[in-house]
Amino acid sequence: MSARPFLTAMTMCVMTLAVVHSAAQQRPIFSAKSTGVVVNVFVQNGTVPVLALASADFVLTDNGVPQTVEAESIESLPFDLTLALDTSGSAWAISDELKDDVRNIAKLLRPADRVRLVTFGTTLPDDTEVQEVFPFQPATTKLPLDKVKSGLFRPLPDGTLSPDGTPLRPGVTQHTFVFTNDRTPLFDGILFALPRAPNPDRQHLIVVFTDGGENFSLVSGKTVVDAAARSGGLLEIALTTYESRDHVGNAVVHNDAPQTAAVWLPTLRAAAEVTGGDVHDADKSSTLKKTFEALFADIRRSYVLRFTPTGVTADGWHDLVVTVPGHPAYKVQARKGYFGG
Amino acid sequence: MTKDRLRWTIVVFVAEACLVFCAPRPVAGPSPISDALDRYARGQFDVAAALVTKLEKDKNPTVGLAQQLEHDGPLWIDAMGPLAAPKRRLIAATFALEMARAAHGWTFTERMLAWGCARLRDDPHPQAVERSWYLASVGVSEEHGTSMIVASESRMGDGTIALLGTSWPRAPRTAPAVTAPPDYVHAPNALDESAGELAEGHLAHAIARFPDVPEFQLAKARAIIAGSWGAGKVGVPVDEQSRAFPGDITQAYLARLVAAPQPAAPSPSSSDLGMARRPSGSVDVFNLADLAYSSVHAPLVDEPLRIKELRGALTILEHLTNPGPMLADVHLYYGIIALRFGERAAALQHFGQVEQLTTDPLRRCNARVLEGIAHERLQEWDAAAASYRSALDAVPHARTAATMLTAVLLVRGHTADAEVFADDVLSVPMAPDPWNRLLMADPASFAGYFDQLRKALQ
Repeated sequence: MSARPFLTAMTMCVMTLAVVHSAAQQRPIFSAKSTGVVVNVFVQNGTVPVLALASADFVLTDNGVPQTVEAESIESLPFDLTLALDTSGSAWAISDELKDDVRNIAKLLRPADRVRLVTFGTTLPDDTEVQEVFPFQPATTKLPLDKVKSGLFRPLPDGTLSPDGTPLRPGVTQHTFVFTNDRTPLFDGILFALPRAPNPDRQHLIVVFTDGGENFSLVSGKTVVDAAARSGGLLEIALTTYESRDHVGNAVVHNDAPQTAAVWLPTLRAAAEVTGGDVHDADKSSTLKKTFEALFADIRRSYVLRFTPTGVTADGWHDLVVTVPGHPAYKVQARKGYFGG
Repeated sequence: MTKDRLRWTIVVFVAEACLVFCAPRPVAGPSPISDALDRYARGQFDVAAALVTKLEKDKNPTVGLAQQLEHDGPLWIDAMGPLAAPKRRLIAATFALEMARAAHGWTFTERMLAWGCARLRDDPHPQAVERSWYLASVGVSEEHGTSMIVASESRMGDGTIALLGTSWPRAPRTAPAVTAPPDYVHAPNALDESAGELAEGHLAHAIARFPDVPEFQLAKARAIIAGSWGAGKVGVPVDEQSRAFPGDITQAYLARLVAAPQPAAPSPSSSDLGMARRPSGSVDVFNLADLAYSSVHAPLVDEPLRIKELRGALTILEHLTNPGPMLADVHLYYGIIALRFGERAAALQHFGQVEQLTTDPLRRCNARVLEGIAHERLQEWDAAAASYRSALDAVPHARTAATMLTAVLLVRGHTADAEVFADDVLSVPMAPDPWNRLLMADPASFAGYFDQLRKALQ
């Protein structure tokens, strides 16, 4: 799958979000400050989002102690959007087309929103594995995309042989060819995308685009889950899937990303869910569009619960449980906790 | 055909043959590789690396260059007679070594190292200067090989570890692997020539010719550490695994390993290959008889070999007590193995010794990162963070230290600190990681080795 349809879908979804932004609620961020804690909550009845709930409808416990909450149905917190892109050979690479996609995404954000681009993974030996292409900046400014590279899409020289010794078809790029020779520090990439100090006035949304390939991280999956739990952000992972074999010239090369994705999927899901986010399948462009339309629709149908912790020790990890007692059948999706102190 | 006709036919044939064989023949010039060797012998040392660099810059395969040297090199060595051959042998081997280092792929590098080593071993009596050749060659093979992080778990570990000669049983090398970068795609039998070098181990050849050189013993220990990086993970949940540092081989782990269920009996085909059947009962961690068996039943039965080799590396290091810069490495590697075996306090002592023995920032950075990992194992989080910060003082923006520090800060709830730190790390390219280079000998020494070789060639 190329990057373009995926990013196009992303662009459309952000557009959808932007259109509804002024009128609709947003999925609020969690935050822990002296002024209180903010928890974003998404409620469904079956597959239908539940709207128009009031503060009295929610029960929130902090380490088992019920808290008094204020629920808001409309939240207009500005976004700090981190786009974290897997640029390894097994996923997509940065290209000139991708520059346009990033620009288009940024154009769809509001003036108060900020965006940054982080990439991870490479097949080029001298490349940095995790890097920030540009830091957070207003989405309306001209984005410094000069550092975006397109090396992985360079065509291979004529006469290059495929693994079975037959000539490659013209136009095959190194990106296409070197599937299993890449380095994909997926967990490290997520780790560096996460840290953001709690800020009740802004929402840190991390969207990770990956095929789930992971073979070069320093940190373990458990560390990523723990780090996600302690970050203030909402982590959403868009997981694309590949065929495990791809045709290159007359040969068939093996792509191990699906296998590693299967191994690490529970970890990725745990990391996303602990923040209130999720893993979204993104194997076809049409599905991508639906996936992200649903994602952003969910965000704008979320509630914000604010509370000042009482009756609990401030320091350490706080387990959060949110329920809607009047409707036990409702499915409530919320951050699993926060780290106080 | 009449007799006259036959006679005339013979005459014409003979006449034509005379014309063909007596006519002036174009004089064949020296082959490009012979010409390059001549220039190299005259002191134009840049020619070797330039050949490789040009091919790679033009995105052309280097396999043809290797074939030319393999074909024309022996002819060039013998061209000036037997008296000149020893020096020309060293020239050609050094030429191959410089090309090996200049290349960016391990296949070509392995092939050139194997060829150079074979030429030197054509003479059973090593020249003294060969010591520099072998020291440099071990470094080149390490530099082009894998990092500790991905050793034996990813693409290139197999070749490099084998080249350095651990007793780790390698899977049979299969022809054209899909992992080969396009510049090094080769014919199916292209690796046959270096197969012997790979099977016996390049480092074994170095040690055989220079048994008293401690650097080769240290390289052996390094290779064992790299080859056993996958140990300590049997039965460990995949989510718990970190590539930064593998699982501890504690007494509890060993006990669990010994109690592990016996793997299924070897298949008839493995018996047919003469592989030893493991005796019934639980896995004997220290039984080398499991070696052959392990090649069938990885990874559980691989563990005995890996663990035994690690203990063997300790013995090697214990005998390397020469003072000087090498002692810092001895402590570093000793500390790593101690950490592997769960002896964290002892490991911390060894890493502390590194500080006392070297001012090299690369080694200090590595020691401090490992110190941080030891502290994490001891759940001394603040000390771990301090060690990682100290490592970054030695090598700013080093990837391993930066990543480990970010993780510790974030997981321990210091989110604001983690944000500031991560932003700083990401604002500039991360430094080439000293951790990756830990097993790559000492790249800084290469220049010295090549200088010694070049002086000897003059």
